[in-house]
Amino acid sequence: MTQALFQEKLQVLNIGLSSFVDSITRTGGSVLQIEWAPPAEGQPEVGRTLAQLVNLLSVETANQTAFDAYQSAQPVLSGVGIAGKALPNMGERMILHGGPPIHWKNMCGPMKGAIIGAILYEGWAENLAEAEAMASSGDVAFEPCHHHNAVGPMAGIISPSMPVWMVTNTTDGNQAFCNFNEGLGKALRFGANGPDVITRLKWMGQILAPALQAGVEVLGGVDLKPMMAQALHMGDEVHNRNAAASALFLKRLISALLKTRTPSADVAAAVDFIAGNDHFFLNLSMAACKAMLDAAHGVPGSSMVTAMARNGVEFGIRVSGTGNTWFTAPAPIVHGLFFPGYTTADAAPDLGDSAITETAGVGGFAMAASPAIVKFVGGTPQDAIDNTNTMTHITVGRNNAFTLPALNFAGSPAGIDIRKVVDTGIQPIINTGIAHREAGIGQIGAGITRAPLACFTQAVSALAHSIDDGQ
Amino acid sequence: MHVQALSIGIQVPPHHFSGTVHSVFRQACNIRIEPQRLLTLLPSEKGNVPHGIRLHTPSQPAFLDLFRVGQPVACRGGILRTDGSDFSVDLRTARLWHIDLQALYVDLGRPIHAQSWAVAWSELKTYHRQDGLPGTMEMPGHSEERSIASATSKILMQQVAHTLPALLRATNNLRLQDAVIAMRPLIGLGPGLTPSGDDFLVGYLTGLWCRVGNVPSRKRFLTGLGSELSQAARTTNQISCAYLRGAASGHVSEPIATLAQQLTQSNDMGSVRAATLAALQIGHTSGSDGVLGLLWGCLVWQPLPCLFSDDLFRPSVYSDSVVNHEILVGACKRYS
Amino acid sequence: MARATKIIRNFYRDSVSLMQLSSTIAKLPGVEQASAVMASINNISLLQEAGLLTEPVEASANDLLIALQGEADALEAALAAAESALKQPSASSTGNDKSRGISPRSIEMGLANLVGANLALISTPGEYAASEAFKALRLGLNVMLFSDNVELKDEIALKRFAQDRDLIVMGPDCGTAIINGIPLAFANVVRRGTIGVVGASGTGLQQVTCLIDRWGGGISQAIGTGGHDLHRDVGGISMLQGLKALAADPSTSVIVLISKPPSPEVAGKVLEAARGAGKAVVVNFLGADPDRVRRENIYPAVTLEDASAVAVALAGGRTPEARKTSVPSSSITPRASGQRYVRGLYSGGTFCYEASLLLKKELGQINSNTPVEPGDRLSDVWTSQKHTVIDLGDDLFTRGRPHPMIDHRLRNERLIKEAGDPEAAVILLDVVLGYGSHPDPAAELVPAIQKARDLAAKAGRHLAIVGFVCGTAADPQNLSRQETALREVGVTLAESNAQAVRMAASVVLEAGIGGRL
Repeated sequence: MTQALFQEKLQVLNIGLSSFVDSITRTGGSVLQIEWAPPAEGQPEVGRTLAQLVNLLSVETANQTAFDAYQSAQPVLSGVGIAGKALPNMGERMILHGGPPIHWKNMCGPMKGAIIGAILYEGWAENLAEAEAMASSGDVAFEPCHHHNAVGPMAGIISPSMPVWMVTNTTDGNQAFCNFNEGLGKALRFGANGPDVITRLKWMGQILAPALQAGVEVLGGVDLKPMMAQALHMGDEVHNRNAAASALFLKRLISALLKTRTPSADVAAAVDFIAGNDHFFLNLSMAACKAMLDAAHGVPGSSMVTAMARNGVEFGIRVSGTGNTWFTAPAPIVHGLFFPGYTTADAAPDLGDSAITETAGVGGFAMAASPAIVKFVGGTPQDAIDNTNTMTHITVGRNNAFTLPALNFAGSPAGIDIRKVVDTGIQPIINTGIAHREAGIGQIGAGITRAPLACFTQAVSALAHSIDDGQ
Repeated sequence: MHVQALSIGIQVPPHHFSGTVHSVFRQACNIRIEPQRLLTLLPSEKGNVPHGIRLHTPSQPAFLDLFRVGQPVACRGGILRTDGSDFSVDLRTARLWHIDLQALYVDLGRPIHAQSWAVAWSELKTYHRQDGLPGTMEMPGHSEERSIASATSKILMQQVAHTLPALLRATNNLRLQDAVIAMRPLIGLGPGLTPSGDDFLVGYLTGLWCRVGNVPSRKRFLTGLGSELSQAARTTNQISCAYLRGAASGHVSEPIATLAQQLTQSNDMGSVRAATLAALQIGHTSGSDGVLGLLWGCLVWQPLPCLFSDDLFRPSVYSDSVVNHEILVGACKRYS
Repeated sequence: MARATKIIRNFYRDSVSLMQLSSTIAKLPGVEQASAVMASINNISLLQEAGLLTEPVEASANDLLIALQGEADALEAALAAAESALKQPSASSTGNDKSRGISPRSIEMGLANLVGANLALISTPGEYAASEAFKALRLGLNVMLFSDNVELKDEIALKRFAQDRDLIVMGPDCGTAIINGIPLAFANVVRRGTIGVVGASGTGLQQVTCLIDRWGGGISQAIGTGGHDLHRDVGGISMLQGLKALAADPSTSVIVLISKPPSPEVAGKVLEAARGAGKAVVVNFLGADPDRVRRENIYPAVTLEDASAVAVALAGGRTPEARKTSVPSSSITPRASGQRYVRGLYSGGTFCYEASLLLKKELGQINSNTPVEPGDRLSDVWTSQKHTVIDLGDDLFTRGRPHPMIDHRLRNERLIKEAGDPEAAVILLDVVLGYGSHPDPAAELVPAIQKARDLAAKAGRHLAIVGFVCGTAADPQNLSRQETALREVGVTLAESNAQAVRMAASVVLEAGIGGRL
């Protein structure tokens, strides 16, 4: 090959001193300067570990397997269930929350508020004080939604009697779940737990859920992937903008609802409720993404991320090849635009399981599809395109089902590769809402945040260990 | 888009090469890696090629969207990348595809081989393309549009009718110079991206490789013919040249190699028929021309006494006479 | 009856399209015969015989030839129809956005933008350099590792990994290389030619390539190996790979190897490989006994200068002769008594080492921060003792400041200090040009030289300054401009380090005060 080098035109990648570019270009060689910075946050040891994983055949093959499973997954909305019955290993006195595991005493305000609300909703306590005492007593088990094949936006609270979307990946048969979206304003997911919030949750459980279950039955299931794909062509990125997808879903649902025995007043209330919430589809999008990514989880040696989630204190990721371990770092503050009267000082750190959408190649990764989103998060439509393009450098492939008109219908970049994140320092981008740090105030803005590098550097070390152990 | 290569031909360098896109088709892309060398990227549904890389593509890849002529392409560390796009191919997992023609031996003295040959011949007669060499030589076949107008077609037939018997006779008598002289007028001759004459020669050499066996004089002859052919292949286009050079060193594409394999190894005439039909599907006339070459190539160096003695050689009639030849027919009857 | 032809150069469409084209145009009104074929010689004669072509056409086998026969006014339209039928949609920009939003941050990203890359030039801080080199190798790239402070175990691992994949690692601590005529890092712009050089020393490579250029030869390749390559534990992997590649390279007729003396077993392996190279190999193992090196096709060279001269002679088909070592002593003026010692102030480590070796033979003990004999190490590197040569590029001096080839301040300060020493007779200097070095070294040196001479003159002494410029006419700093500027302030210039060293020695020897004091 050294001899082969003599037969070829010299083409150089220059890593380090940029002055070396000069002699090469002036004498007719080709050279490209790498904008190098110490990888792995400057930890040489992790950098060495990473170097041994670059272009490693076993990892590439494992990633292809994981990516193919993700790509071929067909998430179908198969029905509406009750969390306590539908979710695997759901305990009687258990409340699920967003993000990686966290102890009650460390939880952020909105999550605590939401848990108190869930206790009241379940009727385990009579009032706020009792509920709070119960939560801190250890009588209630708190576990991440992700540990039960589920996801939930923001606080992500799911208690046993709450209704959940049931989504089945018909390719592999795995199921994923998500709670219902309550709408904007005072909502449990932002930590609100007043009587109006509880009343609405009860209505959702008693009226809305049966109506939706009947409607989904009439429809014989709803293919979610084509609906998401269509929404991407209509200006959604199905994380922070779901206006088109919600409308598409409602369009399908209305005629189905009319064919059920649901009282017409309930149909009207359900339709009003859904029509009044442009984010209604978010929870379906999340469940679909979870179903696709769970199909890709558990491939030994794979460096593909299968979950990113935040609990308001920590940001955590899971990787296909490293089992159920969470790799965590402090949750970042979200940069974005605030509703009038609020500032960064009011914001809770990044919160919720909704980054499952970015993990699945939509949301921030599909920002090019959604020029309208830049109005919420600041920037220009070109920034949206640039953001999507940048993500192609840290992903395993493109999802051919999620095509982006602004990029000449190229697929959306998907399947975050921890090696590439650590090597390039390019952090996965996330479009997200911003919750007030105090319980119950609600959403105070929206913006962009980036997954912390520390999660990925830990994951690289763990993956390398798992590969060494496996050999 | 990152894809894995399913299989690579024996002439593909595995880890390191540099080149540019030479030509792009709906279902193929040629890469020029040296002035005289081509590699071909193919979708999974296409057969293997000695200089080909078959890609594991989930759906039909849009080659015309993926590549531009002149675009730099390079393979480093087993990953093939195209300049300025995120299309890449991992070659490391690819299976090496190779059918060793020299390990095959067609012996028409064996009834099963003779029967296989006859089945393939009859498929060729029935399904060949009218505008390929079999059609030009007035073999009856189903009617098709003629791409070369009748005058050209007639001249082509005259040339072929003159050349092919000379080539077969020279081969049979191991007269290298005569064979080379007979072969030259076929190179680049006729319609198609890989002209009919070239396709015939690829098939013909396949047949010869299957007749070499352990006979040194045949091996010498074929090596000599191959090296002359590699030189002379410069006078056809680069894509066709790549196939000729492959055949010259004993490497041909999967449908034709598989047919050769079936002729020597199959007891099941259904498989022979299927392999013939598959080979006939290649390109437009390429399949018919290649199969004709292969079947005639199989005829040389066989104890068929009257085969190459007739001065008034009518190829199609003559070949039919082979099928009806008492040796073949008799053998089939006796042993079947 | 009219005929028309159209040739489309380097045009490939599949057979089905060509067939459809032929039949489509043949059916157009007024067209009698039509053919669309690849324009091989055999096809052209076929069409001529068929009467479709009457005049010779200039076409190659890779061109598409469309030939028509029919009514004159129908043919033009038919050709136009043929052309439009052959248009196919060209590659859209799907995923073809060159930069895809961001400049490359990693070697892997870089490869996406420069797919034909075949070398990674790495100059990151040492603690990260081995990792970057591993990534480059894993991605199938050859490596030039400029960075130093790479651990020996990493160097061994990298070189073995590379060797298994038929790639080469130049370095670590490889300061210079010239590959395919392209100077890399600290390298000079030299003429291309047939002499291939493999060197474990950066300045050694620069000296040899520049002298070859100066004496009319040219360089095919100059491969650096880094200073530790011939260490026993590394085993000369890169030098052996370089030697093998040059032996196989049809553009190389003579090979030059440069190194400090390797460990005996490595030397044995290298010389064995050199003997089997099938080409003349000039070997300069600095300080080694020539008789232990000499083989049938191996020419030992004692100095870098020798190596260059022998190589140029061999490449020119001449028998190498011993170079005259006469010194133009007339140019060196008399000095005051008490001025007895040589003071070498080097920016190039190998030059300093070579000077020590040569001066030792003539003058005895030579003190240095990088001595040939461990016992000759300067106790205080900041103060010269008797005959002293110092390598100002040593880590001791460069910590926290640029290399003396880039920043001349430290050497200028030292020069002034030496000028104030009544025992200093002659100052020995190297000036290194080329990419990476200071853009105008003479401009930096001249004021300091003037000041030093003035200082000595005031004390009634004459300070001789002897030096050489390692560079070429094509270097960005321009060799003759630099030499002229230095001569103008009275520097006596030699062509090479070896010549400069001999001149310096002669200054003190002529005065009868050198020798083995």
